[in-house]
Amino acid sequence: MKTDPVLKPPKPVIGQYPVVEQTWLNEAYFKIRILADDIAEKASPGQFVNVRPGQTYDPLLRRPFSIYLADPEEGWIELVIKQVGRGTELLSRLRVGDQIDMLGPLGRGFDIETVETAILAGGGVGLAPLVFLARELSLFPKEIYFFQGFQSKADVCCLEDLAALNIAPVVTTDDGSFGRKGFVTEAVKDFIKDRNVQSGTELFACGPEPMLKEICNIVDFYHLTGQFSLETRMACGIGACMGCAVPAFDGEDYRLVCRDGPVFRNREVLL
Amino acid sequence: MVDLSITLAGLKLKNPVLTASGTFGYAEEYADFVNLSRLGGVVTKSITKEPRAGNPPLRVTEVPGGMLNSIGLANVGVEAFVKDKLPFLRKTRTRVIVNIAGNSVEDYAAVVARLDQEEGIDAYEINLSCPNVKEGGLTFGKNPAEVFRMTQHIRLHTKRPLIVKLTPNVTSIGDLAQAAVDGGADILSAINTVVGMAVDVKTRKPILGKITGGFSGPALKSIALAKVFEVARRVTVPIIGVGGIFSAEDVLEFLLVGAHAVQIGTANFIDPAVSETIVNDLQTLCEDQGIEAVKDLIGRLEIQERAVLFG
Repeated sequence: MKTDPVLKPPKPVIGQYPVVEQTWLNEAYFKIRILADDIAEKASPGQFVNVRPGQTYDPLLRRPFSIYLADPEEGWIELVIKQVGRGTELLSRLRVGDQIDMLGPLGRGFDIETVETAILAGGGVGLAPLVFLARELSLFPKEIYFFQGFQSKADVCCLEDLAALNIAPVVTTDDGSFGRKGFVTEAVKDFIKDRNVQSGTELFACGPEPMLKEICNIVDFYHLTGQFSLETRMACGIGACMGCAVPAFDGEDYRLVCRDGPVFRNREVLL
Repeated sequence: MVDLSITLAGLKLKNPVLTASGTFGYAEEYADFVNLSRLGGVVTKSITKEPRAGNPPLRVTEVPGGMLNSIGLANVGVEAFVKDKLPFLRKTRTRVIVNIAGNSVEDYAAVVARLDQEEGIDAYEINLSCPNVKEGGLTFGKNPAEVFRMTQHIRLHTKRPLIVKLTPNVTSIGDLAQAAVDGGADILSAINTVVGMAVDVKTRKPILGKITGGFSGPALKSIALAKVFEVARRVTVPIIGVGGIFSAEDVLEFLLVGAHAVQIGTANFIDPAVSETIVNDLQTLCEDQGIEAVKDLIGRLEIQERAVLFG
């Protein structure tokens, strides 16, 4: 087992934090803003928080969510969550003034130090860590291209937050009901081909596993470098339970999504 | 001030609250959240002779009342444990119990013999309820004769307290307990996880990569209490109760049915500070109940004579 990640993440904290905003973005996605200055101060793009869905033991385990945005000055973080099960349903019922039990920031985020040109590709709720990433990248003179895929028009959200960063994303929908029809990976591939994108460009992605597989293929084919954020089931979030293992690229060992990730580089893990 | 101290076969603990193997890493993972010196002790992840990568994903999933895991004893192996993990554990100012697993009796003995050369280990907990015997294919933790043979062999390699952790996945946990004690176990811990599974009806596939896994969590408590009660009626060695303990009240329940101490498992995943909270709450709970020493509670379950046991 590999035990030491390259970058040591900041010490996480745990506590009860007040919800200061709750917004439904569409039928399935909601955004909550939480006053959590100690988490906001330490958080970097790609990191996550492990949230307890309720105060009873049913549902039992915490749920991991990427940090959508963090404002260290105002001391809040935001999460964009897709309601898929009982845990997220309970979280969707949180209202302003309610407390939320959070542990974070956790994990290894995106490495942006040497990035000059960045292509960001999100699939569905996978856009969550990419908006935070786009904001950090936009603080420096870097070229940013944002691609976001949704299943259909009803899912489309968060575009105004990107607009506020002066980013106009290319949006795709599987059924063509909004933006370009087809998968986001196709749009990314066409862009790379048309613009003759060169090595030195970093491709950042987060989304469902088949999408990430295709992103890895694109990165390899065009000799780019890639970083992608993985989602899996986990229990502790701090590297103790070893439940969130994914196969390492060599297929002989595992990496822990909570501690070695959730952001991995291309050829670090096997998708 | 309530006296929380407990002595297990000569092993003195500040209080009866330990952490369960596999749920507390090598303790350093929890150092940001828990003052480890406040705990009665920590039990490490299972250590094997060679490093183990563990089972294929998915390894954990939530189910009603608890969770399933199929981690597969992922650990750094005994040499890396001694080099990278033990130095931290030595500084924790709490009891350090190393849980040991293996594929054969020789594996277990080799790990114990190696660790016996090191300072800072207070006891061993033998995990007999995981993989298969090299030469048979039977899960040896389920077979009293094997438990006896294994315990007896491991006993030869150490004078440190030996804890044998019992599986509930048998017809008679009492027979296993008796076999472990006959083989030379000083202390027993009960129970390990219960075999369970979960199915995804959309894909018609098992959710866990290894199909079945170990069930743990709140729903395990009632099973564990009954098993500890059964073991306590069978043998006289101290018992460490494990299974679904989330609060100080849960700890008292285990003491009343005959446990001398407890281990906190799955609760650590939900609240990384829970083990210390339970120690603090135990103090208050005992004060409120006018209990002077927690050891006075052990086995003090009040049973009406008419009650039918194991009916």
